[in-house]
Parts: sequence; C-alpha cells; structure tokens
Amino acid sequence: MLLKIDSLKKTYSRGDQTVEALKGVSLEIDSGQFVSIMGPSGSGKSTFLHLMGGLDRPTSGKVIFDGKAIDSLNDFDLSLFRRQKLGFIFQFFNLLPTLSALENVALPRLLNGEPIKTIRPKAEELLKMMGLEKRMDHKPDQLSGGEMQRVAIARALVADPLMIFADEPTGNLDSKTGESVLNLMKSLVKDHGKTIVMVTHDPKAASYGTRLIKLKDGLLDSDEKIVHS
Amino acid sequence: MKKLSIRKLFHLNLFQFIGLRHVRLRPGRTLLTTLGVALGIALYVAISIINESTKNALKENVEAVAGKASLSVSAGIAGFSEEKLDVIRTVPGVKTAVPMIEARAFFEGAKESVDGLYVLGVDLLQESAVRTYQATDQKIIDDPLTFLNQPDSIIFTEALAQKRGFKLDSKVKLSTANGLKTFTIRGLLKPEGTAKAYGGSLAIMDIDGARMMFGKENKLDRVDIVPQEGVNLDRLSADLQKALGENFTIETPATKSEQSVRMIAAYQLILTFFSTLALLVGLFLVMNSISVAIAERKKEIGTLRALGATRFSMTFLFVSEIFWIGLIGSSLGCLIGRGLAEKLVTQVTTSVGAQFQTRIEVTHLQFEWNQILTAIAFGTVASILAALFPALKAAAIHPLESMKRHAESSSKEEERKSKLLILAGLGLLIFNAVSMMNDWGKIWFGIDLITKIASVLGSALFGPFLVFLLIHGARRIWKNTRKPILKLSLENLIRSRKRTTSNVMALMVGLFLVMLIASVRTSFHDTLTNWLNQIFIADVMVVSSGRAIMGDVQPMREEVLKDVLTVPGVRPIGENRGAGNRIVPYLRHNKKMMIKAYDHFADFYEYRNFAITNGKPEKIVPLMYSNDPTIIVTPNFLTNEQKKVGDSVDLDTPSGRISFKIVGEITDYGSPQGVIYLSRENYKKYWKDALITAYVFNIEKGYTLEQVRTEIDRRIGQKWNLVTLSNAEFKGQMEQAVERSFAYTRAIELIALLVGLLGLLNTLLISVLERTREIGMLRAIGSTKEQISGMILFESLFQGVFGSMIAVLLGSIIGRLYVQYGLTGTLGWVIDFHFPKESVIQTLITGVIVAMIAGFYPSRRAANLEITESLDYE
Repeated sequence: MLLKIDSLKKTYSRGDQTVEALKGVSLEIDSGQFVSIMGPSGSGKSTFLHLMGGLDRPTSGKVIFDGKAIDSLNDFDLSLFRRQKLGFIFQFFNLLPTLSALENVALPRLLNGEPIKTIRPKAEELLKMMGLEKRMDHKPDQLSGGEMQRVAIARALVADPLMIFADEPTGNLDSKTGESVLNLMKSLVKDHGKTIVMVTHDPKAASYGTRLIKLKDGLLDSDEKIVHS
Repeated sequence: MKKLSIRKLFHLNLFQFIGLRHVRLRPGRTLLTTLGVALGIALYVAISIINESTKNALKENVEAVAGKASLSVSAGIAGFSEEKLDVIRTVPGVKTAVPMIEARAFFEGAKESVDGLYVLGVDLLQESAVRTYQATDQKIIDDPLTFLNQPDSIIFTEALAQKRGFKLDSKVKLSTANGLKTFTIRGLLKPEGTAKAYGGSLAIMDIDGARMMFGKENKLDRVDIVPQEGVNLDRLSADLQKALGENFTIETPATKSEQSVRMIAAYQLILTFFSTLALLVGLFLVMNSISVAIAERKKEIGTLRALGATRFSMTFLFVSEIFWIGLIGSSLGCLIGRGLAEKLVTQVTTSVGAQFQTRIEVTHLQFEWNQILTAIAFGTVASILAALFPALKAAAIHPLESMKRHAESSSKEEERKSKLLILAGLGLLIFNAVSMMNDWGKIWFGIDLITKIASVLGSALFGPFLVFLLIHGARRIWKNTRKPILKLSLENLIRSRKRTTSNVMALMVGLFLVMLIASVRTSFHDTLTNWLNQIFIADVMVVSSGRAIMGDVQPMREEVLKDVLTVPGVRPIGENRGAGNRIVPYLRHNKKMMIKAYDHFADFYEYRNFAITNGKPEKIVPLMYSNDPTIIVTPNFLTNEQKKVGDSVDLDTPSGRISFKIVGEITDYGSPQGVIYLSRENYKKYWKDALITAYVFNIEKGYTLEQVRTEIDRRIGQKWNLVTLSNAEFKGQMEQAVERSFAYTRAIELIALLVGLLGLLNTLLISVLERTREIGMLRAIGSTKEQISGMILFESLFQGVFGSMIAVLLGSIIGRLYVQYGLTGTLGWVIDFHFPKESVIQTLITGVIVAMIAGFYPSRRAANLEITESLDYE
C-alpha cells in the first residue's frame, strides 16, 4: 500500500461561515493504480487531491504516504517531499513562461539543486516519449495546449515520483487532444508502473482509470474498480 | 558533489533559470529599478564624499599649519599682545615658541570668497623649528635676509600662483587693512608641509610686514610650541594656561582639528538627513517594484511551491534578483555620486564656510576603494532589506495559488490588510511628529533613523488613503458627467484599490521629498530675508574686498570713516561722525559664535533696526551702549550658556576674562551657536581691536546712489580698495547666499522627482499588463482605441493630480515639523516655517507632467492590444 488516508476532514472559514469540504474520508491506494476521482461541484474532490498531494493540510485525519505521515511534516520537509516523491499535472498546465520546454521538464530537479547537464538526458528522453523531441527549446507560448500538457506530464515524471496527481488534466484541452493526453497517462501506469490519482468531472476521462472513487458532499460515495474490456 | 552542494546551498538554479530570466524578460523594469537604486545611492555617496572630504580638508589645514608643534596658543580672532611671547618662552618645558599672524587678504576687485587667500605672517628665522617649506628656490627659505630686506616680499604657493597666472617676481595687488597694496612674489612653495593648508590658497609674509598690513600692530594671532623632550603635554598646557590667563586657548593640533570637525557636524547631519531620505525614496522604489513583480508572478510562485520549492528558496529567489539589481545600481550610484560630489562640493563647502565663518578648500575628493566597497555593500544590503518584506510575502504564497486560473485575492482579506496599513501609516506619521517634537533622535541615532524612515513610510502608507478620499470626492462631483471615460477612470481607480495605491505611492514618495526640502529651503530663505529687511535699512554699505554678506571681507582701519565723510552726498550719522561695525568670529567652549560690535549715535535707528525680542528696541539697545560691560545676545547663545536676560556671563577677551551683563535678547542668524552684540567702544576696549568690517550711511537729499558711488570710487576707492553696496545690492547678496547654500538641495529634488517618475512609470506599465484581459474585454464590447488610451491617461492624470496634492499636504506638514523642531534642535536657529507657495505650484505641475509622461506609453500600449490575444492573456 502506497497511500493510506484515514478519516480526513477539512474545514474552511469563509468570512463568518465555516464550510466543511471533507467530512471524514478514508481509503487506501496501492502502487500501479490509476485512480479517477469524480464528484459534482463542491463535493470536495479538489480539496481531497490537495490534501493527498501535500498541497494543503487537513483539519483532522491522517495522510500516510509510503508509511510516513505527511500531515505532520513542517513546511520545509513537506516541500522536499512534494519535490522528491510526487508529480503534479495541472488543469492550466502551469508551465513557467520564461523557461523552454526542456527546462520546464527539468524544473523539479533544478529545484533540488542538480545541474541542468545531469538532468538533460532524462528530460530529453521524457520529451521524446511525449513526442516533443522537436519542441524541446520552445517556450510555452510557442506550444499548443496539448503540447503544453505533455510537457507538464514529462515534468511530473522527471523526478521518478512515487505518485502523480492530476487536477482536471484535460479540462483545458479539446476532446481529441484530451484523449491523447489520457492515453499517455494510461500508458504510464500500464507500461511504466506509475501510480496516478486524477480528479475530473468528465466521466469519459475517468474511464481511463483503473479505479473510480466518487465523492458527494465531502464524503466517499462509492469506490469501484474499472474493468476495461 | 561539492559543486552540487554550492548550487543547492545558494539556490543557483532558481536564480539562473527563474530570477535571471525575469530580469532579462523585463529589461525596462529592471533598468528602472536599477536606476532608482543608482540615483538614491548616488546622492548618498555624493554627500558622504563631500562630508568626508570637508572633514579631511579641515584636519589637513590644522595639521599643515601646526607642523611639528605639539601645542598652540591663541586668543580669538583679535589676537593678543606680542609681550605674551616672552611669557610663553619662560614657561618651563617650552623648547621653542614660534609666533604667527593669520590674516585674510583679497585679490584686487574681489567680490567672492574664492578671490581671497590666507596670509601667514611668520618669523622666517625661527620657522624651521616648527614648519617646513619647500620652495622652488630654497635659498629664500634657508637664507631669508634678502626676503626680509624687501618689505613688499611675499611667498605664494605654486598652486595659487598657477591658478591666478603669476610667476616668480610677479607683482600682485592685494587688499589689506591699509587698502590695496602691491607685493612681489619672491618665492613659490611646493605643495608640501604648510603649503598644503587651505587647499594651497596661502601666502607667507614676514610677521612684521603682516602686522602692519593687516592692522595687527604689536599683536600675535598664535604661538606654536615645541616642548622639551619628555615633557608632559597636559602639565605644560596647564602651566601655560596659568602663566597666560584663562582667556587663552591652549590646544594640541588633534584637539583643534577635532573641534573644527565637530563644529560642522550639525550641518553635515542635515545634509545626511536629506541624502538618507533620497536613498529611502530609492529603496521604496525597490520595495514597490518587487511587490508588483510578486503580485504579477503569484501563480508562478504557487506552481514552484507546488513542485516543491521551499519558502526559504522563494525568499532567496527574490532576494537574489534584487541582489544583482542592488549591486549594479549601487556601483552605478557610486560613479554618478562621484560626479555629483564634484559638481556640488564647492556649493556645499561655501555654504558650510559661510555658516561657520571658516574657509574650506577641498582640493581632492576623498573616495577610496574602501569607501567605494562600503557604499556598494551598503546599497546592496539596503536594497535587499527593502525587498525582504515583499520577498517574505512571496514565500507565504500558498501552493494552491497554482490551481487558480488567474491570481486572485480575497477582497475581504485585502481590505483588512489595507486598513491595517493605513493605520500603520498614520501611526508612523504620529510617531514621526512626536519624535521630532521631543527630539528623541538625540537619545540614540537609531531613533533618528527610524524617525526619518517613519516620515517616508508613513506618508507612503497613509497618503494613498487621502488620495482615495479625493477620488471619491471627484466621483461625486462627476457623477452625472456625460463623459463615460472620465467616470470609468474614477471607478477603475476605486475598484483597483491595490493597483491605485501602488501607483500613487510611487509618485507621492518622490514628490513628498521635493515638498519637504522645499519647505525647509523656503523657511530658511524667507526667515533670513525677512530678518535682513527688518534690520538693514541704511541706503549704502561700504566694505573692502570680499563677500560682505558672509562677513568674509578685508577689515579696514577706522580712518576710512573720516575719508568717507568727505564724500559729497554722504549723510553722516551723529555729529559729523561715521558709524562702523566690527563682525568677528568668537570661539567659546568649542563653539563658533559671532561678535557684532556697533557704533552708536542718537539717529542710528535711521540706519539699522535691532530685532530685539524681549522689549522695545529704544529701551533695550541703549543699555548695550553703557560704559559698563553689557551685551545683547541671541536665543541660541542663551540656550548654549543656560543663561537668561539679566544674568552675567564671563567672556574671554584679550584683556582677560570679563563679566558681561546680558541686557537683551535679539534675533540674528549670524551664527547657529550664538551671536553677541556689544558697543564698538566696549569691543575696542576689551578686544583691543579698532578695525572695522563695514560702514553704513544714508544719502543726502538731492544725491543719487550712482553719484555717491562714483565719488567714493574717484576720491577714496583706490586708496582703501572700497566697494560701495546699495541696500538692494546687499540684500541681493543675501538672496544669492541663501540660494547658493541650498543649491545642492535642487539636486536632491531632481533625484527625488526622477525616482518618483521611474516608480510611477514602473507601476503603470505593470498595471496595464495586469489589465490586459480587462482591456481586451472593453475593446470587445465596443470601446474605441481612443477611449481606452483616454481612460488610461485619465487614470494616470487623476493619480498624478491627487497624488501631488497629498504629497504637498504631507510634505509641508512634515517640513513644518522638521523646521520647527528638527532644525532648531540640530542647528540651534529658530527658523519660522514659511509655506513654499512657489514649490507647491511647481510640485503640482510636475506631478501632472510626470503622470502624463508615465501614462503615455502604457496608454498607447493598451490601445494597441489585439482583442483576441488580450482576452486569452494570462
């Protein structure tokens, strides 16, 4: 078991009101799974992803990653943890406009203090894998949406993370490009043994996963295996 | 492995791949911020160079004139009887005692202090025991008999001869107490030893000749002492004091130079005050620039945090960006500062010299490598400190910011913060006021610095709130306007509170400093000119060469008065007698005060008013003319001496320590340490000095000023080397002197304005970038290009006008506090606050022009944005 979630709760204060985004969710994720999380707006799916990915802290409950409780880590250790153990794919790509595609891919390891020349072979390999070998020196504004998201996927892989979190990775792409991105993610799990947790509101996108978790009103609504024909 | 550690330790990747890219991506902004640092540091460096160089010049003067002497004996400007030389020589422990006369002479036709020189009257046969001279023809020093046998002999320094175009054996006409006299240059001194004093504006004469020429018969100005080996200097000093009396000053060269430096310290503090403020304005630009950069890069920071960048590395990223800007800006600032110092040094030293009755010649600017490195380090560290607060804010940006489509902020949270900042600004302004009123800066220099920072930061934080009040007022006035652009501009300014605040802050801080300086300058100028207009009512003043307003003139013998009275058109004062005055510096308890001694006659009030503050002049002034030793003094004298009217004070005179009764209090700006008024009769009696500084008279009816002036020139002008000044000309000199004293502040104002312009340009450009989508939307729904550019220009104009108005308000309030409390505490003068009307108009016009210039490019850019691209802009 790679990730264990125990009674996770998250409460936000908005002005005078308190909003319970998550009301106590527990589950376990093993390596090699492609978990799709779905739910209507306000169901708490994004909050859940943020807590699992160490981007936010729970109000109560435990997030145990590879046997280590990450909810109790201080900000510095949590940052190192995200950098070294996790990968992220965002809806709006979040590529740095000043960096080339290759440098964007290398970013997590650059943050780790490694010189670019030691990261370059791996970054080039990943970009080739994404079919972007001719776009390595292009800046984000010279790339299409699909290309940008593939660069972001390569970035999520560069540090060989234990788990990749994707927040609506196809939300900003047309259906054809979205499909190719999802296929790419699927092959990462199937062919390269990666673990992916993806939040989406699109049932078609969710169907690319191997497991589907549905949230409703901050609670686990269903958790089922997806069988691909 | 080691390489990896260093890269990791200093987050070099972050700087190389993120920081540096942004610096390169926005060259305009980088340049603007760098220039802001450079200009702030430039002025700071320039003032530091001038202050250090002035101190060194003063020290060098003292050391060069003192030579090998360990002690020197003096008794003020009027000197002392030469009989005292024998007394000194008999004191046990004195090996050699060498006499000297110090006098000021002027070249023919001199109207400025720079046309003057110092003449040292020395006994060449004894000089070698104390001072060394290296002449081009050394015989003149080693065997001075030929020199001494020719009474017109004078030795010039090579530097002075070269400057004035003289050679060996040249004839030189110099103004002396006996009028214009011709001297022959019999020797030229190389720039070594004593010849280096006063920047080389120095000449050597035989002591007897000098006494005769400068009206110092049977007198000495100083005696330099070389003690016997092994003698305890403190002991010798005490013995000399005992033998000579308490009215003599016995000091070592070190004490003398320390005293000179301490004397001008207060003035230098004011210079430092202004330059620190200019630096703070520059640093504010850094802070503002980093703050807007962070707001712009919020999403990028969130992404980096999500990908695992630590808070510390985010702080480090912004600090490293500003480190290079600070380093380059400070280096550039050193270069500009060196050039600025070169331009300002004469103005500043003339101003210092005038206030402290000292001639300061700075021959070389002191700017060594260690000073350069210190300035660069200081500028860089200061820039980093300025960037630290916004950089820490950047570090606090949550990784979840990366998930948002556009960087958003909670309006409630922002509102709460903005309220807190306004309150903090108000608090800082109140602290500034209370600190100045209670002179807390004197308790510890740190409080002084905090008080200065509080004035700039408080205005920057509180000012925008006042600007918003004006914007709301304008919106109310124009609520029914048919010009939608006007209305939209005002709405935009109110809605985008944060952006408007940044823009207004940038402009306001620059203009605030302009107003603050203008308040101080105007107050000084108006107080001094009002005072002079009140007291000086005579038609004409006659002086010898030099600059009358500074009191830096060649004193004249009393006989001049008799000669002037023979000129037709001169209406004498009293019964066929002339009235003169004697104005001399007076050193008391290490404070450079001033003595003003006036002749008095029944109708003297037609010639001069006395600005008596403790009663009617007709009642108080006659008390000063009694036969008893009585004086009238200025408030700063009373404060320094802790005395009040009616008390007695012991003054050291060449006739010994005399007890003078204080009979009145008077306003006079002759010296920041204190001015003593007494009758010239008493002055002559106690100071044994019959010379006069100036003579005033009125013109008989039926004569014109020109007629009288021509007659004076024709009859006695040549003989006494006289300059005739009309009332208006003399007051004109005063205007000029005040203007010159504050000329350097114009440079500070210009720099502050430039920094304000850079700041506004910077923030306006960023705000247009931030608003790209909004502008695209406005264009999409049908706004024309003209409307868009008009909207941005109107916004800029409103910010310029309202920002300037608030800068005027806050600048003059802080200026008033500084004039009333800060200056009085530092300088010792009570200066009345005068509102700088002219500067207000200038500031408002400048604010509008600066805003229009800064708004022009962004408005063009906004108008020319492509609609589809801007709608998609992130």
